[in-house]
Amino acid sequence: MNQETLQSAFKAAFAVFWGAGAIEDFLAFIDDDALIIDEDNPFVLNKTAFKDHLDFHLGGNWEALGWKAWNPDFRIVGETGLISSNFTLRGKPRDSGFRQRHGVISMVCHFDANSRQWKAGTLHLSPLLSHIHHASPG
Amino acid sequence: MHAERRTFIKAAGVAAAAGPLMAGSGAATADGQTADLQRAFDRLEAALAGGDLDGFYGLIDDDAVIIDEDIPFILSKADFIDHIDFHLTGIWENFSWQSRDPQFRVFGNTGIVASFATFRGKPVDSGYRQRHLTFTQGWNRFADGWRLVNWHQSPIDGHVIEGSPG
Repeated sequence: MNQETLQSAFKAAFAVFWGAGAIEDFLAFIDDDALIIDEDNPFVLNKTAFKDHLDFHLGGNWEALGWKAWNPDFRIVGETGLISSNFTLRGKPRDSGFRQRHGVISMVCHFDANSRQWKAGTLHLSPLLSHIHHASPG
Repeated sequence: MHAERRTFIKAAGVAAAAGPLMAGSGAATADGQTADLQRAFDRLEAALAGGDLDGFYGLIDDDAVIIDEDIPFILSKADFIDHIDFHLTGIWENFSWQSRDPQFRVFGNTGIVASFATFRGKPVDSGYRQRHLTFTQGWNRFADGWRLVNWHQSPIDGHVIEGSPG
């Protein structure tokens, strides 16, 4: 239960979005009772709803799809594992041009006593588009 | 300077407390597992609403990681305080932050809060504004109680709400 094991768990879980691994590994990293905010939805999702949304995207809508973390930060505060990173979601939908979405992600993790694995109790992705980057209106 | 900022945020807090909604005021279900966490969250929100900066910052761990909707970077606690200080220099007549129906989870000594929130207020010399958000928080239960270790806020208007282009 340290920074290195947290980093390893993250890499194994997200490998599916880097051309390796399996979606089941990613889903196993997320606690069954997790609360999730995905940049593709304006709601708080539970794991079932999040999986339903992933299934929509992985059901053949994309020719290629990848998720890239930039400079992820891993730290343990007390017993809680924190993962924070910039990211880019990029890919090419079928019958349309490629696209990229840049954002920031937070994951708050706990070390599950039963499985002896890190689990994410929350996953929050937000697009940089929505964070303030212009002058306050007059 | 700090005294002026505290006076200002206290005045803003009075205005917020007079509003129809007080943060975390029983909207979320609490059980034995989450009641302590909910109380800590309520204290955090009440401290912010009441202008109690020492109480507010005291509930945030020194090693916390914060992603604020007002900034597109990952912040430390010191960075976050610096940004809050900017807002407390007299540029607002009033403002408040209010959670909407927060949900709580506890996994061992890790606590999660996820919810919507509205940040609203009136800048000096300009019209009022509102910003509607989603947010998540991570808390850790230390020997002396819960402290916030992660806070991520994102405006809803940046989340996808329209058709895919192309």
